[in-house]
Order: sequence, then structure tokens, then C-alpha cells
Amino acid sequence: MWIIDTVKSAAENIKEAITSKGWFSGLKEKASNTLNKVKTRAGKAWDAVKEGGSPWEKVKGVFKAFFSDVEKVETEEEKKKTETAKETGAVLKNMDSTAATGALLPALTGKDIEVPAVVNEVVGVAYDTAKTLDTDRKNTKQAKDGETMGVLARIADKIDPKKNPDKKALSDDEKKLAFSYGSKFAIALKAKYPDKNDFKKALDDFSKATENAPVGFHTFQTDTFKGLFKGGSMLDVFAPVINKLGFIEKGKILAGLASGGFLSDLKSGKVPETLLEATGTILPNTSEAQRTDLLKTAGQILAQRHIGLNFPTNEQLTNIVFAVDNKDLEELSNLFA
Amino acid sequence: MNSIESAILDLLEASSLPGIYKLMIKNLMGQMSREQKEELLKILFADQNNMQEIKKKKMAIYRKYEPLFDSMLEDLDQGKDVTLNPMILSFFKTDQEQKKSEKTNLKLDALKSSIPDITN
Repeated sequence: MWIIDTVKSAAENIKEAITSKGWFSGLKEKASNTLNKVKTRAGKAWDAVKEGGSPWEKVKGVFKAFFSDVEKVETEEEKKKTETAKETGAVLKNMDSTAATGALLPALTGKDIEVPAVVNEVVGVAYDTAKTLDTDRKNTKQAKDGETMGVLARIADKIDPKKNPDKKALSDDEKKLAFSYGSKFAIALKAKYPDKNDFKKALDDFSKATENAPVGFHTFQTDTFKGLFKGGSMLDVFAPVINKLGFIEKGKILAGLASGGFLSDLKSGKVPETLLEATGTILPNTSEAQRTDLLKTAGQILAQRHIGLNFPTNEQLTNIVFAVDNKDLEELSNLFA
Repeated sequence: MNSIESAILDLLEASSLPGIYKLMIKNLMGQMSREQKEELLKILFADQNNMQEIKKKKMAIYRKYEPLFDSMLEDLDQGKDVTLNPMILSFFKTDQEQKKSEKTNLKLDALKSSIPDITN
């Protein structure tokens, strides 16, 4: 049948396009290596290049043109993939939640491993949260039906080191959506495990059950995941939250962050008064005692990096989720959406 | 398995669709309506065309720059002055001519669109 032949030829073409990723990455690597060698050769003359002045100007121009061409094509590729994911999201949006969760489970458990109940429950909550956020954003006309799920599916791909070998960061819009989703997911998971100890145990059991699976809790503890939030403008991403602060409060926070004073206080277990007050404006339904706990946990997470612990422990994650009042989590989710 | 399903599966694995969707489509195909399957097939065909276009653009970049980098590396290895590399000089000549022609085309396009009656 014609359709089969056309599809087979199309599939071959795509396979070729996908494997072509290797040679393009290779070219970028070659460009970077060449640039480093050229810089070493040029020495100080490289930094001194000015328009019309230096013999190195044209060499620098080649690299500038190359990286600009690469950025242009990769931006276009990213845009097209996101559009495709959004369209697919619209087609798959109304699949039954239980069936959809069941379809995703094999990726989260190893071969010959019976799917533990906790994995089924957490994935179910994750899927339903995505559906809820999609509906919310559709109702507020921020996205069309299914589009939000499509973007979340793209974000999920970028978390997986195997699918994001270049450690590409999320776009600012994706970062906002990831924070919005994270806040909503925290509320939903808290509803599933309302007791703090049960919540922590669920995280422990989920990590254990997925440790040998292609993707799992370990996927959130990689450099790829950390890299997702690099680049772009975090001030822009957090603008909806920062804008809740008054002019003077905002100034004090920015000054404290710029001087490094907040960081060193938090790392040493102190809670700066300015931060405590500001979090009161951002999280108005969370008590001062809970905000103090939240900031102390944040301080622990920052401090432990020095001993090589780059990711929050399950206990710390649990503390954060239970420190913030659900109304504030909901508000955060809406602000980022 | 009917021809649409088999076509979807053939295109799916190598497509740019997110992993979550690939899994869902593979495992839930039986529960999808004919309309959903047809819609998916359209998306997969369009994706194939998009990725082909991207590949062509990447190939063009590869062809444009790879020989340049090789030539620069050769100069560096042999201790030659990279700033005098003839390929770099010709790269700029071609690049400038290309930019000039793009600029002219843009101006012409703007002129054409400002006069609706002119079609060619």
C-alpha cells in the first residue's frame, strides 16, 4: 500500500535526521576546540580586537558567524519540536488517566520488576497534575487545550540526560511552567500522603523502586537537571514573585543577594530578618515559624554543597513541601503559570 | 494492526515527539479513535518534514564551516599565521556578498508588498 511505502521512506529519513545530531554536535565541539587553540595563539591580542583594528578581527568574525548560525537553527528546531509536542498534547489530552499512567510505568521500573504501588501512585499524581494545570491554563486562556501537557512532556525529555546529552537549559517560559507545575504537584502529592512521615516514606520508596530504571528519582539528581535552570534571566523568571515585594523590600533583598550576606547567613544556620519578612509577603498564609523552617532547610541545602551533597535529601524536600501552606503553593503556581 | 497504526509506529520511534508521548502512543494505540490516529499521523508526517528542513540547514552550516575549522587547525599545528588563512579571507568576501544580496532582496520584498498590484 502506498501509505506503508511512504511511511517507511519517511521513517528512514527521520532516522537519518536523528543520527545527524551526532555530526552536528561534533562540529560544535570542533569549533570550540579550534576557538580555544586560536585564543591561546592570539594571547592578549584576542581580547583587544576592535572593529577595523586587529588582524584577528576576521578570525573572531568567523566564530561569531558560526555560533550565530548554530543558535538560529537550534532555536528553530526547538520551536518546531515544541509546536509538535503541543499538537500531540491536544490529541492525547483526553486519554484515560489510569491507562495513561499504566503506559508510562515501564519506563520507571526495570525489566522483570513488579511495579510497586508507590510508583503507580506518584506517576498517577504527576499525570493528573499535568492535566489539571493544562485545564487551568486553558480556562485562563494562557494556552490552548493540550498545549501545556505538550510543553511539560518536552520539559520531561530535557530532564533525562540520555535525551538531553548537550545539557540544554529550559527556556524562561519553560522554567516558569516547571515551577508552576512543581507547586501544583507538591499540593497534589501532599493530598495523597497528608502525613509528613508517610510523604517522606513515599519519596524514599519511590527513589528505591526506580533506582535501576531508565528514568526515576535519580533523574532529578543529575547535572542535566541542575543545568536546566542555568542561563536566561532568573530575575525575569522570578519577576511575578519578586514583584509582590514593595520597592524598599525589593531593594533590600537584591542588595542582600548581591553582597552574598544572605547566602553566608543561611549557610551558617542563621535566618536573616529581611528574608523572613520578605517571605511573609510572598507566602502570606505561611506562619513565621514555618517560614523559619523553610529558610533553615534552604540554608542546609546550600551549606551541604561543600561536602559534595548537591541535591536536597528526601527529608529536606518533605520539610520544604510541608513548610509552605497549600494556599501559598497554589498562589505560586498561578503566578508562574 | 491496521495500516494507519502500522504507519504511526513506523514513524514514531524516529520522530521528535517527547518520550512520554512515544510511550503513550505505543501502549495506548488500541484505545484511540480513528480520528485521533489520523491526527497523529498528520503530526508525524509534518514532524518528518520539519526535521528534514532542519537537517538541511544543519548540513549547510556543516559544509560552510567544517573546512574552515580544519584549515585553521592545520595552520595552528604547522605554526602558520592563522590571520592570513586564505579561506577566512574568502569566507568574508562570500559572507559580505551574501548579506548584501539578502539586504537587497528584503528591500525588494518590502517594495513589492507596498505595491499590491506588482506580483513579479
